[in-house]
Amino acid sequence: MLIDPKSSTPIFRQIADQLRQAIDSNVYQPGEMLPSLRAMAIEIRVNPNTVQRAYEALEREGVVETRRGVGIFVAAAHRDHLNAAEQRLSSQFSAAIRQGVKANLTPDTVRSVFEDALRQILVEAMQ
Amino acid sequence: MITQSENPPVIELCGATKRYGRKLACDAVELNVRQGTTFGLLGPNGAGKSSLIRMLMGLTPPDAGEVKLFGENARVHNTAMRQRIGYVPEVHCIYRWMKVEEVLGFVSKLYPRWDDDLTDQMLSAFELPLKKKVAALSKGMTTKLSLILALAHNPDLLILDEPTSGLDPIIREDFLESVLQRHLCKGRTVLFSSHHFDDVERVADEVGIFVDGRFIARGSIDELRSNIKRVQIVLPDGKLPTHIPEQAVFQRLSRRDWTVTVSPFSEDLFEQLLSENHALGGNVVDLSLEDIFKDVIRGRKRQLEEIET
Amino acid sequence: MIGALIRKDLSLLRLYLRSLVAALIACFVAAAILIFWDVREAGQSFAESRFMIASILAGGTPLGLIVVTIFSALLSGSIITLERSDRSSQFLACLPPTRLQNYLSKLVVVASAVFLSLGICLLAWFIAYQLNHSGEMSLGSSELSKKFKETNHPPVFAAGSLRFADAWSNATLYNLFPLFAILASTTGGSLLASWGSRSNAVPTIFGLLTPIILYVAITIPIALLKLMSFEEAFKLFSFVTAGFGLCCIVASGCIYRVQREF
Repeated sequence: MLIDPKSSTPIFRQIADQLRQAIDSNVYQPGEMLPSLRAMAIEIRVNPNTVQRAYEALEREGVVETRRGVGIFVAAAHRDHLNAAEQRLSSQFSAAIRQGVKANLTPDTVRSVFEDALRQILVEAMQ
Repeated sequence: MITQSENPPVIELCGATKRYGRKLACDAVELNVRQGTTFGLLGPNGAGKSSLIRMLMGLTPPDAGEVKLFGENARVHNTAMRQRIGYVPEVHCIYRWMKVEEVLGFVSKLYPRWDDDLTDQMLSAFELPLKKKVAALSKGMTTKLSLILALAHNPDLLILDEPTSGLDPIIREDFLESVLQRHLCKGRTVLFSSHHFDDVERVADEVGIFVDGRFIARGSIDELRSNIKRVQIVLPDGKLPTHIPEQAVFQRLSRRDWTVTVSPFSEDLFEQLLSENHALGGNVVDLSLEDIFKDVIRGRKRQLEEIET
Repeated sequence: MIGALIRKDLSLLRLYLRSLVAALIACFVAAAILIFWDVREAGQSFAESRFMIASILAGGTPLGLIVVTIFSALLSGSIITLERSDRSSQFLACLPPTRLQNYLSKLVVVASAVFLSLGICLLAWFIAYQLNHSGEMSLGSSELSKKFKETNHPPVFAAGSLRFADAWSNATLYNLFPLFAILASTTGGSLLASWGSRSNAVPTIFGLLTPIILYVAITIPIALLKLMSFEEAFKLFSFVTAGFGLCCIVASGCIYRVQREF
């Protein structure tokens, strides 16, 4: 797992996204246990509180679930598996949308900005 | 899970002041580090960070104010308090004539919580030669020995003063991993000063930028990064910025490109700057901790220069 | 904890302590050589071997006492400055032991070394006395002078040593007090002077000069001015020297406790 401390994406978000990718590409199967907070923190050399935030975010998004006293497990079949290209696109979209939300854009604005961009690129592609 | 704000404070500075001749190394410093927090002390060289750490270690008393550790006055540095602290200094002064095993033998008798198994684990992980004299060790190995001395007695507080300065990236990684594995992940407290911003961003919960004896920015890394951002404004031809906002920390003008680092940042401020200056365009940039640090320091330097002229 | 500190301080001074042992041995070896040469030159020989041993032991004792005095200054002049010179005092200051414990450990090491080596010299002297008087024949001073009167080259060293051995009967604590006083002042002076230097040469020399300066300052003026008899002046010197030495030891400890910048 590669963490870029300089990136504008907070570290816990980077961890969550990369873990999600790993889950989507079957590195961790549904029902399998993820590395403990401590083990993950030591391996990627990050504050354990940050790892905890990443796990909490993934749990909120329904990607993983905590079983008290046992560990953190990949949620069973949380959604269809995407292929590699779709995964990359998904995380890029997530990052861009997150920026927009932080800048207090409404979901409608985000959607219309997206659709404008999509239209523009399709136009360029046809030329 | 206990949130850290409920934990007892491990380090407390109340108006701590330290003067060296005419120079004010620490100017009525206020600091509160709670148990389980990792605090990154950032600041330019000669800013007084080392004085602050020396006061924490009881090497010098404050000229005014209080320095407290575990709720007790650090001035009366007693054995019991020191047995709860692990310290890795910037410059190592370990007895150079002792062999590594002699150093460990000596220091281990001074701490009741010394863990021989942990010592052995770290010795083999670091591959330290037991029979070599400290004078014959490289800087990296001496730092590793220093870390063993600091961690092997299971301290409640770990104080690191520029621990990885001058070390190669691999040793830095090993060092960080050790601190994480054998200390942080046990819910203990760390205060460390460093110029390696990557390490600070990875490991610190809170940071404080210490300049000229005072904290001029402090908070969690997320707070700092969301409060302090860089605004880029494209000015119309031949125009100068109408006025410098009071939130400006540092600014630079290059042809039409005006960049202002502001604190605190808000979308309203951005809109205001765009409209005030009839900007042709604008952008908000998220800053890394290092960028924040540099802009804050440069801004303050310029402030002082302007005051002098 | 004090045990670990003492072991560390012993280790710190290991070179000097080994030199002390070697020097003490050298004293008695030198005495032996001197006496053998002396006796042979005089064409004499010892009536019994115990007299030979006695004269060697008694001859070595004064040399040993000089060695002990020198090393009392050297050890106390080094035990603080060696840590100050490479800043390992800062390393020690960050460790759990209190400053008082650190200083006491140093005092214990220096005092033990001085007392032990002093004890060895006094023991040698005592044994010499006993050997001299343990048999039917004893060579007291009067018998000695009788025995050697006829010769042209009396064995001066051998005779003098045996006479010295006899002097043990007068070696009460009271009479030995000046010796203790001198040792206290060399130790104290060196310890105090340690704070003014980062090398161990300066405090050592200062420590050795302390009793000399005090002697010159007290005994000589008083004796010259005839304020007191020489014996009384010397007694005064002994008391002042002992007191001064102890004060220096305490003062040095206070500085150790209070030092702020390393």
